Amino acid sequence: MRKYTSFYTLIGQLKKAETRQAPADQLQFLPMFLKNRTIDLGKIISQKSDLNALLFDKNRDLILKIPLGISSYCSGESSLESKSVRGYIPYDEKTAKISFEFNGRVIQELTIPPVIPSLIIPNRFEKELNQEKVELKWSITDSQKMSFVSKVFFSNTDGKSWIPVGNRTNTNAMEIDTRNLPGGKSCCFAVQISDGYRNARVETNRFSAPEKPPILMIIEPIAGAVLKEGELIQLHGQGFDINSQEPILDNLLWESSIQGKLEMGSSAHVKLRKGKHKLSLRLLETNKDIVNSVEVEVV
Amino acid sequence: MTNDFDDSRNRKNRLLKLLEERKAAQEKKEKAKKIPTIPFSPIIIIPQFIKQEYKILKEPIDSVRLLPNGKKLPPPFEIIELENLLGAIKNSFDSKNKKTRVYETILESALATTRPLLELYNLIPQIWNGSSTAISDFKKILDQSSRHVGFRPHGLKIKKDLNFQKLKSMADRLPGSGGLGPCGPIFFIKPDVIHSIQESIYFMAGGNASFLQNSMAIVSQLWKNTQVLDTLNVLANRPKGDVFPELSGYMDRVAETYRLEGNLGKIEEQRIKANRGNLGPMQSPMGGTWFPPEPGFPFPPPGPNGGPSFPGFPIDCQPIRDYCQDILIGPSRTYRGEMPTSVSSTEITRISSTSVCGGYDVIIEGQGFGNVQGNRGIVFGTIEVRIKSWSDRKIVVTATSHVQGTVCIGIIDRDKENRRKEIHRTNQIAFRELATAAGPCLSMPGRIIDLPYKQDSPVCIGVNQITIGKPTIRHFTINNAKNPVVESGSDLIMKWEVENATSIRFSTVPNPRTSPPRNFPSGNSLFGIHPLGALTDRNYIVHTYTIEAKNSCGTSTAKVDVTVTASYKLNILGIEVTQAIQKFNWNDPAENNSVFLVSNKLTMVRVYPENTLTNGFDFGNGPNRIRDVEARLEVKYSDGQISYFSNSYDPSSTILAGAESDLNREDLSQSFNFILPTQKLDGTCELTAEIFKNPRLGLGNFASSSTSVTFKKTKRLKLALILVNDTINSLSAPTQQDFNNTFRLGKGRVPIGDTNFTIYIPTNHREISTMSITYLIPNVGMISYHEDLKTESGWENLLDRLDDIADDYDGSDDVIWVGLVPSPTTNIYSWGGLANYGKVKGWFDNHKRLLSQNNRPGTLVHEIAHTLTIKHAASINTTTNANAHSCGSPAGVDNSMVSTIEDVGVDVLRYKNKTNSPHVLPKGVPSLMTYCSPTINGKNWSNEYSWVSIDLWNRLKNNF
Repeated sequence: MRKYTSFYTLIGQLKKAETRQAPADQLQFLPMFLKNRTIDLGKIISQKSDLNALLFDKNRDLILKIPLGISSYCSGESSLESKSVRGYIPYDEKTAKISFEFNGRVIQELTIPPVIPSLIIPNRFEKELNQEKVELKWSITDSQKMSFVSKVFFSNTDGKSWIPVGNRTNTNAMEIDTRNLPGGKSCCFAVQISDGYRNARVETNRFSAPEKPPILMIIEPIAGAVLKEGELIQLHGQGFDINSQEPILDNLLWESSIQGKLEMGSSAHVKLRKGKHKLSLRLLETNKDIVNSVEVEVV
Repeated sequence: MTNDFDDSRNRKNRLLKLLEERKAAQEKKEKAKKIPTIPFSPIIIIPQFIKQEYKILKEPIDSVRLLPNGKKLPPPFEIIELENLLGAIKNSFDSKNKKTRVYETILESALATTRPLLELYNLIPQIWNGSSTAISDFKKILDQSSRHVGFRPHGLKIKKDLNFQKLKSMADRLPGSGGLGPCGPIFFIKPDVIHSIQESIYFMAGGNASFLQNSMAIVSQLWKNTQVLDTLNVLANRPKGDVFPELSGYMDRVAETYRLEGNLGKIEEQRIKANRGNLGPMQSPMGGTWFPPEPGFPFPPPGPNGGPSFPGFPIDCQPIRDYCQDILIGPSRTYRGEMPTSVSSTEITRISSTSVCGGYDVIIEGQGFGNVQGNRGIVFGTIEVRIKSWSDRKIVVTATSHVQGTVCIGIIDRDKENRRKEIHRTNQIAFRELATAAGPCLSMPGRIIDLPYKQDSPVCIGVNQITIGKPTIRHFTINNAKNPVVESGSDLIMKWEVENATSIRFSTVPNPRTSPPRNFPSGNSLFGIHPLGALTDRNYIVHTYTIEAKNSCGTSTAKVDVTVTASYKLNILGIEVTQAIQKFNWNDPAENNSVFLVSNKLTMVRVYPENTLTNGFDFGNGPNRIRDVEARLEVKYSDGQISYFSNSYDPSSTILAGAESDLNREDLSQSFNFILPTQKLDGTCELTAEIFKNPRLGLGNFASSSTSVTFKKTKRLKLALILVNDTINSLSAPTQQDFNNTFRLGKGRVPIGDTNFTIYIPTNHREISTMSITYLIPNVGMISYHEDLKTESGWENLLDRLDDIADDYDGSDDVIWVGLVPSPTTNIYSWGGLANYGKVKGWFDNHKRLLSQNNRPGTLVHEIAHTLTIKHAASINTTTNANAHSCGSPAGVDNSMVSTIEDVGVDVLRYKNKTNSPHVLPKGVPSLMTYCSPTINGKNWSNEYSWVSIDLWNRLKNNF
């Protein structure tokens, strides 16, 4: 079996006929976006499903039959109308048509034009990204004149990993607040478009972006909590490193405006004296003073 | 030094003998010289210059001795006074009076411990004057005293290992054995100071042996550090002609004392030198005071730089001196001594009636009354009565109604009585000052007993005895007690003794609920023992029994309250350890506490008390219920550490303990509930509970029981949180804190440690907005994609977007993506929450995701369960299950799941926080995975309060 490295993510819903006049069943799905993945296709193909995607070439020869996952929302499995459909459909350049069969009956067909749309991002970024807002624009050229949906991505690892920016959009522009973006020495944006099946993707030039401070969260106690003196009080908090996308559970210090330093760690138990405390969670071993606080009252 | 107790008894006898001799000698002396009463001082008057030169003192020594040649040492004047006072007090006070005994103890101690030193000190002036006899006596006394070192007054043995805590607490003020303290190991303290401290200790101890021992340790230390006897011994054994060179210039030192006082002129200095050896009081050159100062006057000021007044002498320990000076001053200046007798009765030969009522006349006959009453009166006991006439042989008085019973009549001399009171007043002041000074000096409690005043009363000589007024009830008890507490079913035995009565009557107050035994005796016996019958009450009740005794003067009554009680024993039926739900059944304990316990999760221990009452006895809390039972819990953690818990949560530390059959686990007030701190709950913990009624170790009022449970870790829960801003319906997104609070209230139903979860933040999607978008897909057509949460498809579309976002973030498959949506005030949304069923197919659907309304902790946990592939539980029949009031019809029912909780559940967090919501979830309440809403104690609650079943608890644990 051919080894595929790019797969479409199919996110859809299997709808039952709403009226007697309508087609018996429908597969509604969001425009599929292509993504590089390492997937054991053999394992997928070995599954059995009522819903399958059949990939045909231009000669209507079957390339692959891909079982699709059907799961239910908890709101309904048998009695309700919709089911959730998920699937990975490998990108095969010979694919000219995809038929979706439900219980052996074709309920949807997708004809794929042989031409690939072109995508251009005119933006050119300075070496260092300093502005708080970026107006990212792109233009699409497609001989088929299809309508496209776009996604914007950002990488702070020179393209090795990506995170999405904003939502799917029908427009060709997006205003981006760079304050929420992770920082790194080699960053770039990417725009990916899809008309349902055909994808195009373009990346911007590389630039550096300032690293962002971690986010600190105090989970417990909640702000405004009224606590009892003498009782062991649960402290629970954590950080999250935007740049690495990893939680921070170490080097955390708890402090009280009344009692000073309390304990180290993501969670701790302390006894607090009477009074209104400003409880602070401080991240140590950073250049900047990263702290988050809640006010509680001990009675 | 060695302890030598062998002849302590002999020494004691010698002491008593000597006391008698001294007393007789003093009486003879007083009669001969008609010396007026001299104010007594328990502090020995010691020449001032000697006081200055005491180097060191030794341990207290005992013994009054005779010199080896049989010659009696002439007792110092002060010692005679001391003995006189002791004898006077012994004679004038009731020997059973505790306060008097304490006082005697002080005086005896003073005699026993001070005498040798005082004798030595009194000899020193004679030695200076060249008396070889004095030198010889001095050495002999030293020899004898040294042999007797070790004896302790009253047999008190001060052990080396005594508790020195008191001393340590005074380390900053008093020198210690290691040289600690302000004065170091070598210092001198005036012996009268130490003596006074010792006196104070006896006084303060009041018979408390441990207090006495601890305190005497301080004195022992002082004596050791001063070593006065050793020093004196060294001095006494020096070659002849070189005796006491250190003291030879004493007059110069006295002069220096004057100089230091500021106004010493040469004339006065010479006068003092001329009066060498004259140690008596003299006019102070400063005027108005005497020199040497009398005891109690301030000590001379220290020398230059705070050092000694006399060069070459060790430092007088200023802090101690300051500390204890008041002890010297107070008592020494004010003590007066013996109180005279003020009432006589020997003149009386007959009285007209031996029994009268108050207000009637009584004629007192005798001789030597005197023709004039003067400042005298008649007392009945201690009460003065009105005198109608007075002559030398007959006095007529009116019996007072203030006196009842039998008393003796006497003649009181009011002048003597006033003198008696005045002496007592000054003595009392001395006591108070002593106590006041002893407190700060010895770190002792300030509350000191007062010296009581006892009014003089007539000696009964038979003919002066009279019975007055109404009858006297000397004794009236039931079961030998004034107010007995009697076991239900027991017999009551009444005992009485009455004087001066003509008739006796017994009664009891009938109770509306029950009738106390009342088999009263007939007749008018003035004393007797009589069975009343058996108590039949089954209630905690008090019966009052009364005796009425009458005579012509009136009626006297006395009452006895009989409290009916029942005996019982306490047991612990079991110890339940619960985090959300637990199996527990005292009829089948094999599976108790078998529900999986999670490490580091909020945990409650329920201790079930039981008592053995079965006869229906009611202490006021219902039959067979015991009140005011308390409990403690010991927890031994897996690391070996032990914690103790004495404060159970509501219902506080007291509880009603009923019989086993009455206990109801669904009532939290019927168990002692301890909430354990979570941080050490891991591995196997041993729990030991005890219940008791105070006193804790009272007979039958204590029970204990143990069990062990094991807490195990579960996987960490990973949650990626997205806050949803519902722009379509204009509802703002919840906050991070909203999520914290919602999950805080819900996680009790999830088998994870309280902090064993991590929140992931999708950086660019911390908050998303609902939207509507239309896609045109070739050959497929227009797809309208909206996220209107008023519609089911809107929820589904939003949930799909979560998946899309998760996919773009490359979210790992063990993270649950949580979309927290607003909670509308009116229920406009189609769902409270929505989730996918995890990896139903097991091969693709890799992003666990859910939507849940804010502030719906039950829904949040319900949806989390779905993401772990757990389906719905079937609805229950609300007509047959009283624990549910309404049910929906969920799709995707897994019929293998139980629909109602199998045992009693507890919301530990809500219980701990005392919220108004249900704390106990009774067995049969709908499971969290149904669409049913619970009814708890007759009240309907929303399905947010449905609870985790044991089945669900285990499925959640297995699917993490």
